[in-house]
Formats: sequence, C-alpha cells, structure tokens
Amino acid sequence: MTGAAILRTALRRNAGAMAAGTALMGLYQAAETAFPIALGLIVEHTLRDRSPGALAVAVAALAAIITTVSFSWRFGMRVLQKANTTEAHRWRVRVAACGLRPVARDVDLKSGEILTIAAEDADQTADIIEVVPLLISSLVAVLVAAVALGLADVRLGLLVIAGTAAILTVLSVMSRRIGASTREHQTRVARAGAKVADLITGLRPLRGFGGNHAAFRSYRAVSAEARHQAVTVAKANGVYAGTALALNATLAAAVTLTAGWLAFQGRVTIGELVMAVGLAQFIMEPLKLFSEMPKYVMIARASADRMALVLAAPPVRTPGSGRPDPGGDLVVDGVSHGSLDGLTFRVAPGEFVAVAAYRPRDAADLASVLAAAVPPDAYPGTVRVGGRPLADLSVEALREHLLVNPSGAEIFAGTLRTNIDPSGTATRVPEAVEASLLTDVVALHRAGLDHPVHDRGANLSGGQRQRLSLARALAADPAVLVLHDPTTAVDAVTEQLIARNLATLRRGRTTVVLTTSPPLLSAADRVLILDTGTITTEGPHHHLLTENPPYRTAVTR
Amino acid sequence: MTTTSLRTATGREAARWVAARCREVPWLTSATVLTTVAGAALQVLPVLLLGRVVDGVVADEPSSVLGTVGALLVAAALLGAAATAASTYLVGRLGADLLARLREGAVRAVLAMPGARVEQAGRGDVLSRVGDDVAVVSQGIRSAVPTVFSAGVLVVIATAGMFGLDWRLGLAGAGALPAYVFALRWYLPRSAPLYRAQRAAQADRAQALISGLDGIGTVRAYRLEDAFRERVTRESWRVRDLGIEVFRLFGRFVGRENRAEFIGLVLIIVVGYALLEAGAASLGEVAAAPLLFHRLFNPLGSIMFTFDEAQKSGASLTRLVGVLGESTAARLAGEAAAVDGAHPVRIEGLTYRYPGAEEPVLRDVDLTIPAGGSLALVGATGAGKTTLAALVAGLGTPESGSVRIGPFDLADVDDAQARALVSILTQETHVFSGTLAADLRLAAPDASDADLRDALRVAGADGWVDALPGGLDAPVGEGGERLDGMKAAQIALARLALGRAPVVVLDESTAEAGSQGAAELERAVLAACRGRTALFVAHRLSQAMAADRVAVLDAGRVVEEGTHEDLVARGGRYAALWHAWREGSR
Repeated sequence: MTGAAILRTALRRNAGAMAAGTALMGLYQAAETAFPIALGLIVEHTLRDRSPGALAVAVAALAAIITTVSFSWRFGMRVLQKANTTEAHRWRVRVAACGLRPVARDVDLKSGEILTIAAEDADQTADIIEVVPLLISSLVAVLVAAVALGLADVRLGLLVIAGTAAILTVLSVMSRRIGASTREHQTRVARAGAKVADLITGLRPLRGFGGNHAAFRSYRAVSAEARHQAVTVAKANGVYAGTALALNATLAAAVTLTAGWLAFQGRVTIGELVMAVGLAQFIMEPLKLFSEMPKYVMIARASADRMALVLAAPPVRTPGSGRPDPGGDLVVDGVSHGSLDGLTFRVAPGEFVAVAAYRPRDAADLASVLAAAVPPDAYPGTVRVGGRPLADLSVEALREHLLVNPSGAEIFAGTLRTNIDPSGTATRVPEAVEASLLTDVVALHRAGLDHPVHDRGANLSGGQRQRLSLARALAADPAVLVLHDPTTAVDAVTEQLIARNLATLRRGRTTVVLTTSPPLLSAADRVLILDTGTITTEGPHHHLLTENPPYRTAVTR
Repeated sequence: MTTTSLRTATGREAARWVAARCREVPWLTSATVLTTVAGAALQVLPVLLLGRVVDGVVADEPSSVLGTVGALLVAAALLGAAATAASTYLVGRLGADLLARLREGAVRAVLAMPGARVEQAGRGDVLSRVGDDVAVVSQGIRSAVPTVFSAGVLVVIATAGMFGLDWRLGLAGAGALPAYVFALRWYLPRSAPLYRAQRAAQADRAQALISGLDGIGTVRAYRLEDAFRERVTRESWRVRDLGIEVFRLFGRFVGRENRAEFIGLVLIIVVGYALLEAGAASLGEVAAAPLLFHRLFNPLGSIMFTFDEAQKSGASLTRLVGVLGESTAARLAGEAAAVDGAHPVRIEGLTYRYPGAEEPVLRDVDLTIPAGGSLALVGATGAGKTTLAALVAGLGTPESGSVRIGPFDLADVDDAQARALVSILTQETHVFSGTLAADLRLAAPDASDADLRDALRVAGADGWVDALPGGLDAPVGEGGERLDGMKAAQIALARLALGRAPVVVLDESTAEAGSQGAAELERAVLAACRGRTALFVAHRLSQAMAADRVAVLDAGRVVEEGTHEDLVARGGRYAALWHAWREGSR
C-alpha cells in the first residue's frame, strides 16, 4: 500500500459525503459571492434612487442571502467534518492494529513514532476529505464572480479570470517547494517526540544514576534542531504569504482601476463599480483558500506516505494454519539459532523439565525460538509442538497451546485481576494467585484482586511484579508452559515455596523452566544442562548436584 | 487506575508566562507587532479609495483622479505584501522560540520532578503533554496568533475608517459588535468543557496505544492483540464522537455570527439611506461603508473562529505551563558537583511508613557501612529491603531517624546533591535510544571513548560491544540493536562504573538478567563498586556472600547482622535460609 493508494481509498469511501459537502459548500460560496453583487445593486437602486419599497427589498434580499450562507455552511461542513473525523479514526485504528498484530511487521519504527503516525498523520491524511470539496467550492465563488463581472463588462470578467489563473500558477509552484521543508519539519518534530517517549520510559533508571541533566541536554539538542527547522519553514511561509498578497492585491487594484475608468466613461453604472470593487476584494478570500489547499494536499500526501510505511510493511513470516495435537509434547530437533548449536531435546506430555543454561544467551535464544519470535524458516532444525512443526501451526492455535512467558513481562494499567486474567477467560485464578504466592499482595489491599495497578506495575515492587507475571502465566493454564527465570526477583524463602507450588499446580501439564535457580531445578522431574548451545547432560537435580561438579559450581556458586 | 494528573495552570498564569518571554526579546516582539499592523492597515486602504472614485464619477470630475488612486493602490499592494512577508516570518520565528522554550521547559520539569509524581500521573498524561499539547500549541502559534493579530488590527482600522466617513455610519457598524460578543459569550462556556473532555480522551487514547506497543511481547504471548486493538478503537471512537459534538456546537456558533453580520449590514444601509434622504452625506461615503463592513466579514469571522483555535491552544498552553509549574528541583540530577573520596553510610533510628498505611515498613533501623565497605540486605518479601534501599538513596523522606553519607544528612540535600552522593540501580533497566556512547554519556557527559571502553570492560561487556557493528557508535535501544536483559544490565553497570557517586545502592540489579548471567554480573557488580561504599539488596544469597557484612531484615527490623561466615556459623535465620537455598527444596 502506498501513500497515494491510501488517499485514493479515503476519497473513494467518502465520495457520498464529499459530493454532498461540495454541493452545500458550493451553494455557500455562491451565496457569499452574492453579497458584493447585492451591495452593488443596493447602492444603485436603494441608495441612489431611493424608495421605501426598494429598502424593504434590500433588507429581505440580505436576509435571504445570510440564511443561505449560514445553513449551507453549517450543514456542508458538518457532513465533511464527520466524514473526516471518522476516516481519521479508521486509519488510526489500522495503524495501531499494525503494531498490535500477532506476527511482527518488518518495519523499523519506534513506538513513539508509531504513536505520532497514529495520532497526527491519520488526522492529516483524512483532511483530504475536507480539502477537496473546499477547493472545488472556492472555484464556484470565482466563477460566479467572473460571470457577474462579465455581465457588467466583458473586460472585467476576462481580467478576473486571467488574473486568477496567473496567481494560482505562481502559487502552486511555490507551495510545492514549501512542501519539502514542511515534511522535513514534520520528521524533526516526530524525532523530538520519540526522544521524549524514550526518556520517559527510562525515567526511573535515569534518575537512579543521575543522568537527568545529560538527558535534558541531549533533548535540547533535538529540540533546537526542530526549532531551527521551524524558522526555515517560517521564512518560506513569509515569502509565500507576501507573494500571495502582492498578487491578489495587484489583481484587486487592476479591477478597481479598470472598473473606475469604465465608470468615468459611463460604460458601467455606479452600482456595477461598487460590485466590481466589492468582488475584487472578496475574491481574495476564496482565492487564498484555493491557493492554500495544495499545501494541505501535500501535507496529507506526506502523512499518507508515513502511514504507508507502517501499513505496507510485510509480516516477518507467514504462519501456517494447523493446530497442534492435544497432549503437550515438545520436541526441539537440531535447532541452530544465535548461540544455539544443533540443540535437540524432547519434553514428554505432562513432564516438568528445567533447562539450566550456563550461558544466558542460550536461554534467551531458546525462549525466542519457542515463542516463535524468530521465524521458523530462519534457522536450521525444527521445533515440534503437539507433533507438528512450528511453521505449520496457526499463530492463534500455537499461542493457545504453548505459552512462553516473557522474562520481564509487561504489567498493564488496570487491576491485579485484569493483569492475572487479561482476557477474562481464565478458570484457575485463585489457584494461580496462591501458587505464585501473590496472596499476601492481595491481602494487603482492601480491594483485594481489584486493587489498581499502575502502568508498568509502577506501584508494585520488582518481586510483586514478577509474581504477578507468574500468576498470569499459571492462570492461563496452557498445555505447554515455558517460564524464563520466573523467580529472580523474589527472595529465597518465597522462591522455594513457589517452586513447590509450581510442580503441584502444573501436574499433568507440560512445563519447561529456563533457570539456574536451585529450588526450581530441584522441583523439576529432570534437568537438562544447556552448554555452548546444546544439551550436554541431563538428570535429576540432586543427582547432578553430587555427580557433576561443574553443575554444582554453576548453580550454587 | 488511580492517577492524579499533572498540574494545569490558569489562563492568567499562562498569559503571564508568554508576556514574560516576549519581554525578553523586545526588538523581535516590537518588529513583529509593527509589521503586522502595517500589513493589515495597507489592506484597508483600497476600500477607502473607492468612495473617492464614486464621488468623482458622480461629480463628473476629470478621470485623472484615477492616476492618484492607482499609484496609491499599487504602493499599498507592494508595501502591504512586504509587511505581511516580514510579519509572517517574524511571527514564525517568535513562535518557534516560544515553543522551544515551552517544550524544553516542560521536558526539564518532567526530568526534575520527583519520580513518584511521574508514575502517579501516568506516562500517557506526561506524553500527551510533551507530545500532543506541544503540537496543538505549535499549530496555534503557526496560524491562530497571526490571524488574531492581523484581523484585529484590520477591524480596528476599518471601524475607524467608517467613523471617518461619517460618525453615524461608524456607530451603525459598531452596533453589530454586541451581537458578535453575544455569540462568543454563548459559545465559549459551552465549548470549553467539551475541549477539555476531548483532550482527556486523547490522552487515554495515547496511553492505550503506547502500553500495547511497549509491552508487545506480553501482548502477543497472551493473545491480547484483539483486546488492545479494541481498547484503542474504543478510545479513538470516543475522541471521534467528541470531535463531532464539538463541531456541531461550533456550527451553531457560526450561525449566530452570521446573524451579527446581517444586523451590521442592515444598520449601515438603513442609516446610509436616512443620511442620503437628509442630504447629510455623499453617495461615495454611504457606498463605501457597507463595502468596508463587508470587508470585515472574514477578519471578524477569523477572530471568532480563531477564538476556538485559541481556546484549544490556550488549553494546551495552560497544561504545558502547568507542567512548568509542577514543583520541581532547582537543579537536575547530574548538575551538582561530584563528591570525591569514599564516605561511610550511617543509618540511625530510621522509621518509615507509606502514606495511609497503619504499620511502618521500617522500624528503628540502625546500620553503618564503613567507607568503601559493603552491606547486603536479606529478608523475605515485604521485610522492607527495597524501602530501606530507596531511603539510603535519598528517594523518600523517613518519618524519623536519619541517613548520613559522610558529612551530609540526606534530609538536608536536594535531589541533585543526593544523586552526586548516591547512585541507585534498580531492577528496571532501560537502554536509551541512540548510540551506545550517547547512552553511556548520560551517566558521564565528559567521558572520553577510552573511559567508556574501560567502563564496559569493568561491566564485562567489552566482548559483545566490540562485536557490534559500529562498536560504541552502534545505535541501541528503540530503533537500534535490541539488547537482552543481561546486556541491558551490563550497560547499567557500565553507567554505574562511569558515575562518580561515592555510595552505590543496588536493588535486584542482577535479577532481570536471569540467574544464568547472575554470577558473571555479580563479578561485574563487585568490580564496578570497588572503592565505593555499597548497599546490596540481595535476592540471591550469593550476593550476600560477596558482601563484607549481611543484615537480615524481618518485618521492618534488623534481626541479624554480621559477616556471612559468622551468620552461617550462628545457625540462626540466615543460616537456615542459606542451607535451604543452596540445596533446593526437598
């Protein structure tokens, strides 16, 4: 999908609203143009040849015109604005959905940038829906004015049309140039926004080492760059505004002088002179609107291009459509990825296996392979879940069957309950709370499980966050559960209890724990030693502890 | 979610802030005002010249009067254009300056705010202020401010022109003003709450999106994509609904404005009719008046319309100035002079209670860490380890008792000074977006590349950093190389090694790296802390073993204290923990 295609889609599906909006706004512009024409007639017929009847007609005509202006604008813009806002909403949701898909997209954007694209670029793209009707309706005003002038004198009509065309040509060339610096400015502002998002995410660690001042200095550098860019844009805008005004005022002056000369010659009436001057003044406004619209088209185009970056990014892989067989066996066969080197092991259904990786990199790589965060065709070897290769399974079925709880999993704003059971379908919440020893946290607060949790679990301690994350994994109760260092932030006593509870609660279900913590290793049926990318030895913890001195050193130090 | 939003300033405060900034650049400000006034005035001139032409035609004057009028019109066009060009540039420049001051001020305020305040307000609120609000204000500065300026001047000059034609015509034109005021007074109080609701909804929308994107790994693992998409959709739809509601109100407001236009025009024509009947004015004067008033439709409309924009910008401005007014430290952490030498830590009679809690989490804690020594805190969850660590790092104020670092009592120093004395490393690590060198220099802005490499070596990260494409200049964090928990922890340690604080507090700092890397990290921690006074919150007992002394906390009290060997030999609580931990559960 390209930026142009996005704009085409937006235009196509709002064609009805845009047609209605264009008709109403055209009527509005025609009525606005009627004002100077009416004023000319009023000067001629009501003020020069005075009669009470003419005064009454003048007031009635003005009332009719203002009513048309008022209602056509109100309903025309209402239609357009509603279509615009709705369209912006649709694209915003699509951009957001792209970032929130089961399979990652191959796009290199920071989350702050995606936020900017979803917030501002979606709005600016949808603006095209208002821009086009406004462009067309402003032309209506120019046409009505030209006809009225032409009826008074053909030369006046020609002057307005030729002048308008010349002005628009010059301005459209100029606005194309401004587009480039505006785009540059947009990127700088987006960069400053992303920088802030990053700093705020890392605010706590930053404060810990006292880096606030240095961080501020680096933000100030980005902000100064954006400021510099804004001044460049202002310079270009100044030249543009000055030129636009010079051209428009010159045209108006030419019309005033020509009409004045014709009036002195007696070829147009006083009323027509007033109308011509009024129209020449008035026509500046729809002309200005007309000349500004290409700029908005440009902005919409730039925003649509940025959205296309996100929307067109292909998924990093195409998942299959199969379902794993029930049971829960897990086979890793000859997998080489990152630091893993021909890794092979099998976990039988219902087994509780601990993988003790001597190198942290090995555990992290194994976790990403199992989570299918690495495309299965990107490494040699296969992972079979429920008897079928990862690549053949649908993402949905795989995740339902096999849960890899990320180490350092995110805690979301909400309550303890909404974090433990985020989709509201878990059946084992009380058991999970008990097994992960979250009971004391729940008991601590009057609201219990409905105790509010701040974004990122900011109002919980590290140990509480980790136990909350564990409770969520246990409550999900998948056929195969993979935990990666689930208890590193909890104290030794709690860790032992958790290890025991884990074995009890998961009885009959397949569980794999990547850990070198003795209590967890001890609770497992079997320990696999993962060293230099492959399984070197296996056996029960206590056996390995006595028989395997390197293991003893590695896990107890 | 219980949050207390960041402060929002009053309109007056915000106006004072802007006025004060403008006064700092008097020349730029006055040049901006002058060019805007000149540009607007030169646009009114052509209409005033019309009356002259009309009277010339009616009085059968020679057509040479057109020569003078033509020269004036062309001069007005060129000068007006030049003035408008200058004014557009100057307004843009002044605006860019103000905006840069505003956003930098807001970011500085966020960085200088107590950490708890940011968490309490929520990152969504903070982000929407330094993101959306800055965007709205910059939009306002680009369009609303110049419009109000030039339109306002145009209205004033044109009204003066009408009084110049005939005072009764002037009065007739001015008679429309109450109708305009009525329209605004009808509209403003109705729209303000709607705008507020709209902005709040936008903040919720941003929060929904950012927490989903930041926690995408968890979202995917738990198949929450749909839930998050729905939440974003719901919040976005709410913003849309509010937008439509706001606009409907605005449409009704414009109708009232049209009514005011009608009243003005009819008054002028009726008064002109009467003046001509009485022979008190010329046709030229009477014909110019309605045209002049018609010329004001757009400027008056844009003032009214900009009121709406100005309200939006004003609302955002008050939110930004509000952030500037949050109580923040005078100095940012990192600005205080480094404190040299090793210093002991003395904790005396420390008691701490969380706000609203009945039981204190720490009771009468006395501990001493000699200069350059280390102490490990051991205890069950909820024993108060993290709270004690935070207080030693100067985060939070004890209910009673004191923490002294060398000659400094932490109660008497500001945050910047506290950070110069103590660095704290918590379990939350973050790799900052940018180059690796830029990340490390956040901790030591003046460090040379050699210093950075030394620090990385101390943290045990030199191996993989050398392997990174670009080495120290490799982009890391968001948008760069993704570093795992272990590497992120090593970067945090390298920052610690680069810092010069004489005291370091480490709370679960090796936890996120996973147990496999813990041994390696623990060695790096010891190296990074060498020569400094250190307090460890020990989750793994091997951390405790490596410290000079160990203190066991239980329910907020120190129940055992001594060296690892002593405590194991004593056979008390610590010894039991140690044996259980070492063997695993049986």
